[in-house]
Amino acid sequence: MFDLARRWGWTVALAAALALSALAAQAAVAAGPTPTRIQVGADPPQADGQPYVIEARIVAADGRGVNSVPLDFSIAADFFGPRQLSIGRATTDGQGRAQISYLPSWQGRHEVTVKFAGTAAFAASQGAGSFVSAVALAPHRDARSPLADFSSGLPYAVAVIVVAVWLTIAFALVGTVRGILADRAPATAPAAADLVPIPDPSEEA
Amino acid sequence: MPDRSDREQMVRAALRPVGRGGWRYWSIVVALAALVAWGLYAYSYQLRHGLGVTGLNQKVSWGFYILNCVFFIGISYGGAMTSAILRLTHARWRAPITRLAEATAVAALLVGAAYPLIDLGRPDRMLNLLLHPHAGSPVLWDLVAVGTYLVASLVFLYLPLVPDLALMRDRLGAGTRGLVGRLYRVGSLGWTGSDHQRQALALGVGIMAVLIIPLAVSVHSVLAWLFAVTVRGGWHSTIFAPYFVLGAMLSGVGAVILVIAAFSRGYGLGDYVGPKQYRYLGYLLLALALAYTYFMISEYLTDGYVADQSSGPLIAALFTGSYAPLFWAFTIGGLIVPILLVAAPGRYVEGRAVLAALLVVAGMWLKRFLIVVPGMAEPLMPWDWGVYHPSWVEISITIGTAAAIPLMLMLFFHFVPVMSVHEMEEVESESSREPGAAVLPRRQPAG
Repeated sequence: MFDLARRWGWTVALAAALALSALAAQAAVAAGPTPTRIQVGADPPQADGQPYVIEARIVAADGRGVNSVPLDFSIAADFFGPRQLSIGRATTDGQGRAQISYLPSWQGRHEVTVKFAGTAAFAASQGAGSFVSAVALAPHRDARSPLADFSSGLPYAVAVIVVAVWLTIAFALVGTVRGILADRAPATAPAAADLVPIPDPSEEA
Repeated sequence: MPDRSDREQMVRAALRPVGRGGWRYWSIVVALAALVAWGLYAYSYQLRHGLGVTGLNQKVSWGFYILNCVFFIGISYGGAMTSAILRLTHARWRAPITRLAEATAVAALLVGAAYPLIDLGRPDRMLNLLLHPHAGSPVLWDLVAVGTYLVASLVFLYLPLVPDLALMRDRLGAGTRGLVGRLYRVGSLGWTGSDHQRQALALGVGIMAVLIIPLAVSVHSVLAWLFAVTVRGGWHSTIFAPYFVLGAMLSGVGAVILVIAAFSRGYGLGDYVGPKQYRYLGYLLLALALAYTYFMISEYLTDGYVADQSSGPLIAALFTGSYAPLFWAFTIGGLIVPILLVAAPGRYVEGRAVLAALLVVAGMWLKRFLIVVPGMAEPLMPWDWGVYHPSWVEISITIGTAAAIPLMLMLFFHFVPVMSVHEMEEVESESSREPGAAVLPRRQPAG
């Protein structure tokens, strides 16, 4: 009797525990994912030419880091109008930290935004920070062509040739016209009696 | 000096079409004008609806318009070169055909130069080329070269025309008293045929004949460089400029033969334009076709042997792929058959030369298509090949502009002699000093 009661007691207890945990999970889902927040910071480069290290830490409501989630880093830029320019994506470590390296393309204040898209367990969030850059990537320039000195003068040489051609055309035209006009016939129209009409083809036939 | 009766016969033959036109003449003019009007309607439709009505697309953005530009400027080049080379080499058989060649050059150039404008969806933006020129742009230099060549071609056409305008002034009777008569009087510059005037004219025409050759070469070279300076298979080639120049001369000489045949038959110039002209122009066509074949073999052999990422697929498409029917139609029909036609000895010189010229002109148009379209359709990235099907708008504009050339020539020769009377007299005078080289037919006037 005692054994039976003990066996059923364990069974009931196990069922009750399962029911309670199911209820707890249901309550948790009903409450939604855990809120998160992001802190952003930047470390200046250690030497000239090296990038800034921008770090973000994402923590849950209880202050513990959220690991293995992707964070998207962007900066505010004025490129064909104000917009967010993506500068990279990194996955958080066990402490909820993620880092990217970034060499600014201009000097001055940089507004950094880090976004977390959210998961089933953790809510989406974003954080912002700023830093003032004293260094910047040199703007891209095409390698100088070895023929640059030569080709820069080429259009002028061609222009000289074009002008020479136009002068030659003008010389041929004006010279010929002047040569003919120097010996020109009287400006009067020929008398009707002097005109020799073209024969009519039908008459010729 | 030519015999008086021979001269009169020649003058009558040259002036016969001027100011006159039977029902056959006017019906051809009306038919050509209708085709031109249809082409203009198609262009106005394109202007209203944009380039979307054409078959041009993101991958094949150069189609009929650019290939027509290259083709018609090439025709012009051939006309100018034929006349200039024959003048400079003092070829006596040139005299009856130089006017036709020079007029063909100007008419074809006017049509060819219009195509870059037609190719623009917003032709008003052409002004930007002048307002904001970029010295490093081949397009700017193309405009300069074509503009200079156009002016030179007009001067080259006008100067030898002066004595004939004087002839019109003196011989057209009462008809010269209107606006046309005033144009004859002003245009003839008071020509009397004095030694001083002849010397001045010979010098001016000589300078222009020398100048027109490098000018024409430069125009077609710049056109070729528009293609060659881009990194595309089939285009990026160091031989493209001379290849284009040779192709232009080939198609131009072909077109000159066709124009000469049409006008000599239509205007009854058979006594002056005969087997000699067709035989020599045929030889010129033969030499150019052989040289073009050599260039073509050189191009495809080197490209095909290397067969890199850009040229390999292009040559495969031309030789055995989707463009093979057009390629072999050009190679066999537009090169090999014309070479055989004009090289073979025997009778029917005129017929063979005209047929060869017709095949060459059609073949060279196909060749321009094979340069422009597959070069654009070949993908530069791992995408599909582009597709190009010309729309009714492009076909109509092409037909309309092609009809504009004979129309302009017919209207032009309604007012000026189709043969240069002055030049024929000059050549005849030289010939009289060298027996056996006469230009004028030795026969008595009819009647």
